Amino acid sequence: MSIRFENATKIFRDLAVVDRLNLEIEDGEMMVLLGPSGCGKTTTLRMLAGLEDISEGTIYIASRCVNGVPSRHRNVAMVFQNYALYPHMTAAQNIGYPLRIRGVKRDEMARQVSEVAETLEIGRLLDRRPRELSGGERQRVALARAVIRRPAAFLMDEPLSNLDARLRLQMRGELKRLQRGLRITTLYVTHDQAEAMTLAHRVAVMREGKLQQVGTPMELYQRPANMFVAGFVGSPAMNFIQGRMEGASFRLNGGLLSLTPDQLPAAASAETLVLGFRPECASLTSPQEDGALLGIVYVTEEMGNETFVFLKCEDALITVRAEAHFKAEIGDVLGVRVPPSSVRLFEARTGKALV
Amino acid sequence: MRELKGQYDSSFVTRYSSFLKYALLMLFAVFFLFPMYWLVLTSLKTQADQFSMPPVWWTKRLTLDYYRAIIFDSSFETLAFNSALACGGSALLSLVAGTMGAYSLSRFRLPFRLNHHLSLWILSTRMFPPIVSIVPLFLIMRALDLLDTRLALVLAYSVFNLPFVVWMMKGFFDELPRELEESALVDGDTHLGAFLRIVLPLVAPGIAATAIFCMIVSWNEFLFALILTQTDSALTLPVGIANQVTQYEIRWGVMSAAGVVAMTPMFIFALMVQRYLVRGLSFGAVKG
Repeated sequence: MSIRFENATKIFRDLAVVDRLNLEIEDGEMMVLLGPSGCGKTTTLRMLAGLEDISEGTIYIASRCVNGVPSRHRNVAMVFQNYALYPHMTAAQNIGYPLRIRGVKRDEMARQVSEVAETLEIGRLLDRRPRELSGGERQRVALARAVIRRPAAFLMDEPLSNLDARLRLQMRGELKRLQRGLRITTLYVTHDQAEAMTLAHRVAVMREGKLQQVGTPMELYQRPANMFVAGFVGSPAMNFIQGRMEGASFRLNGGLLSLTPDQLPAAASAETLVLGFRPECASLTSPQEDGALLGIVYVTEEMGNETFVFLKCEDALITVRAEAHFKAEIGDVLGVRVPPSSVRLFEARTGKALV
Repeated sequence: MRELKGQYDSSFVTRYSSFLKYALLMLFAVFFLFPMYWLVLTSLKTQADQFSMPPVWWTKRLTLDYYRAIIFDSSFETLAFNSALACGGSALLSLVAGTMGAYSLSRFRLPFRLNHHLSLWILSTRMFPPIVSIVPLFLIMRALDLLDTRLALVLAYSVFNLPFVVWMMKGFFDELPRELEESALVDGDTHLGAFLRIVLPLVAPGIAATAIFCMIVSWNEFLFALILTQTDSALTLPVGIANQVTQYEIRWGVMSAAGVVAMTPMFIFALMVQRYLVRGLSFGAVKG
């Protein structure tokens, strides 16, 4: 079922934690709400679940306004960060709980529980209590409890953040397969941009209660709407260097960079500019090369398959991706070449993307 | 902690301090157990031994006369029944009301910091000694025509136990992660259903621990029972036993035997739920 937020607002003590949110999630889509802690993403999710009142605006589930509708009548399933498994019940009882409340017959319930347990590969754990399960197993039980009643939507609140790094990657893949297989509309909250990029059909980035940008992971990565999105999506983050226009070129402290013709009109309209480029778009050259920015090596990080070189370009610290065998010492002076076509320009004052 | 331990970790100090610890515990045990021993012994001694000087610390001349006397005395049974009813009734009433009140205080945000103020106000009713409230309580019960009834005791004990229940249970509810109920709500349950199916089973050890304290307090209560009751229709065991101190004699044997019998049910009950008592008082263990 589709979900629609229309000017949805949540006010805590005069502070708009969620500020006039407009967002539509299509049927079967996986939407990831991404943002730093305190940006209002969890509150948004809880408003949708019916655990928080909606101060202003409207939320629709399957074109039905759900303002004031209690959680139990919204037909959504939620997976909590700490899983919220019922400690006094076995895994099977936990998974069957939503059916039990709905008065499903005992044998029918047992059949459905074992069916869902098979899908999530927890068939042999059904007799155990939550405290006898590992983190990953608890996660699966929580997912099974959400899946069993085929809800209109899944709501997930950082479901992977309590797992260790390796398990998190594994569950991430399984979660994606599960969602794509069941095609149930999903709203997934996270502060981890890698999770957002890998899981989502579309990502909605939030900051201080306001929606910053909605788009596919690729759109967000390649055409961020502002400096916040540009800096939050992608790892390592996008590089920012401040400067101003000088004719058809961008004057940086370290050098001069010519822009492409379609960037010029927008660039000319702003007073001070911030130039942004991704670490993998730039390349390292000798410092003598024409049009290269000068940078002093701050530190290098060898990842095995690639090496990240951090350089001081005057007062900015920038990152450039180099090949695996690249060698440089701290304090070396290098040239950084940035192809003009890969550059994003932002207005310094508002942070808005130009072009 | 580790460094601290290391500092004192010479074997002499360790052994000396553990010896001291056990000696102290022994002293406590004797201090608390001796009156019990004396009570049981007195209930079994003959009257001559009860009054002999120096006291008889141990004797083989035992008698069951006093037990026979109270067991075949119908008034003792009535008192025991009154006690049980006042104790059980008030424990039930204060637990039901107190648990629900505590849950509300723990979970629902009231405006004007009422959660805080209400909690303190409830606690404040425990801050004055019971004797202060006995006169108004007596007048209220007289106005309601409840003097010398078991209901009066049930109500009085409940009121007195309620703050204790609310504060104990509030602690247990506060420990319980909120997400459990929220999960139940989203799973399709009502608030009451989530309370009954999820919350109550999880705080059951806490309820057991609280119930024991309530029952012990009500079972042993003396002052309210003395003032609010007069006849066998509502008199409880503690007052009944005290009445054995008469104008002409103090019936030590009967009093002791009655004391032993009165002590027994609470003793057995506490042993039975001891497991919950420990679990209830160290609640963190329940979390999954």
